[in-house]
Amino acid sequence: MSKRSIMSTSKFEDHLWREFVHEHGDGLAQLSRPAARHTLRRPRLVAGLGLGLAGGATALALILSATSAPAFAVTRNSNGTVTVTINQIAGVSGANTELAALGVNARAVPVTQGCTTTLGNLPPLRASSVILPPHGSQSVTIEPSSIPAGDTVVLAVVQSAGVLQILDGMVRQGAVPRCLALWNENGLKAIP
Amino acid sequence: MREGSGGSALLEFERIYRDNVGVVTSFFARRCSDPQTVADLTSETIVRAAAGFAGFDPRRGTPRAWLSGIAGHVYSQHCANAASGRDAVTRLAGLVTLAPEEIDELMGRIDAQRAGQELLERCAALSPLERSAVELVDLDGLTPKEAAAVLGVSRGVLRMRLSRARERLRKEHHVDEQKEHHVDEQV
Repeated sequence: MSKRSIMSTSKFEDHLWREFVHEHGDGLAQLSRPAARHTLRRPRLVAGLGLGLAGGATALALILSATSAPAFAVTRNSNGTVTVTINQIAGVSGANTELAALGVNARAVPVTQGCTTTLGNLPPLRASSVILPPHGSQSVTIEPSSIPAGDTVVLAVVQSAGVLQILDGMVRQGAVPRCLALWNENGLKAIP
Repeated sequence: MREGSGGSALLEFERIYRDNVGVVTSFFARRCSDPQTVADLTSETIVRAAAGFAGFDPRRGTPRAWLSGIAGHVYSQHCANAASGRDAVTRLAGLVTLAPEEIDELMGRIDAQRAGQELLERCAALSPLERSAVELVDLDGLTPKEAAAVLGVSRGVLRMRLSRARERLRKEHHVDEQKEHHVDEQV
């Protein structure tokens, strides 16, 4: 996997995004993404776990749901990174417990309806190499050594229409919120 | 049958935007000297990407490769329209009215891309595929795999053409340096 930094945007690029959201945000917010992405993810999880074990994983946690799909997995990889996989919102708590046990300053936070803490309220990602690109997948890989002391990576977890995604990761100082709300330029947005 | 992920698509798209819009802006800054044109073409690329986002599958290519491909099409259309006298960005004109500091910022971006422009000029003798390979990999920072996806060739072909192009550029640069050295000695 190639490591790619998360680039900070300029004034122009921030301005363009605001204008874009104003003009097109509602349409994009209603957009349906292919269900195939969801149904084909499980093999990636299996492959990822296999790689982690082969690489000398020091920690692995799985909780099986009634349908035997793992609700979450936290794996320390041989290169020191930690891969977090969450397949169900119910797995958030277990994933956080495992992250704490491994001493990784990262926490998954569910995006829930009615929550008043928005993604926009949180500080932007401060360190470029903390998280390898999730792009809306169920797994992210974190570099714990890159997390600034005293900071915590907050992983926003959304489950909507049967599809769960870890949408974003932000380094945050202070207390980690219990929940997050979807956010756009118009303010808080309820989960569809 | 498709399932929706609803508003999460906006967040996912924002993530892709913030990770890659700098590459898109730089792509146009290497080709255009007018900040407003750079802004308009960047806007056009983002709007087109949003329009096609429902069909974007990250398993088939990275977001950066996807956006680079769209940017290339937008620029080709811009050139074709400019050649025929049509306004290439009529649809988006006015989406972003640049503030003075944004004009300065984009001017700075255009200046910063001067080395990239010079490299592109040196690539003029290369084939279009080799020229694009050099730009995507050496200037835009795409991996050879991503560049191959953008250009519609296999990774092997991309690596071979890239290697050939770099070697040719190195040789020409060496010849140019020798010529300059010769002229300096004569002076």
